[in-house]
Amino acid sequence: MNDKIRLFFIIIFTALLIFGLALWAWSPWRAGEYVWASLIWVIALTAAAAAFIILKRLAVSVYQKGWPLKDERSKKLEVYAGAWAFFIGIYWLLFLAYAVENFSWGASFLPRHVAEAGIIGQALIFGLAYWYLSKWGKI
Amino acid sequence: MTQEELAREAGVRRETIVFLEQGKYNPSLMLAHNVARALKTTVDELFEF
Repeated sequence: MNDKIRLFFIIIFTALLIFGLALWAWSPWRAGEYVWASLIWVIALTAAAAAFIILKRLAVSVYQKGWPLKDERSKKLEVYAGAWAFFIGIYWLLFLAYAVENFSWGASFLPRHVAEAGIIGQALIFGLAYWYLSKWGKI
Repeated sequence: MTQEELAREAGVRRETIVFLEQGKYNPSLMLAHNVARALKTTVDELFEF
């Protein structure tokens, strides 16, 4: 695992951990269990402090090994992946709209579910297209 | 010169240099110029079209 991937992994994991703990602490706080809620907050802050120290070291390492995070190639990849996501996403949305009307499993879908599934699908297509183009695409 | 040093000189990520070396990336004229300048050569000598 290279430093950049490790950096993103730690950022995402730490953000999820801290937000999760913050949400978890909210219930006992509202119930008047201030000690328990404070304890959870202390754990969250400790995790945040530890993550900050590790991230700072990693950021320096990544910088030395070749910042910037975005460059000419990565911007080109984003444009290509965005085009793929847009193009394939249109057909994905059309398929969903058709499925809601015509397939038995689509009967329980609400119109907003089509929009949500469409957007999630486009996001997934973007991620997959970026990965594919980055690995094998001749751009 | 290492890939990291070249990447820093050209202002791109190291991965871009890797793909450039493998012939899997078509650089812009500006990047081709920057890489050639960093390697003290010309675009014509560095790249085959």
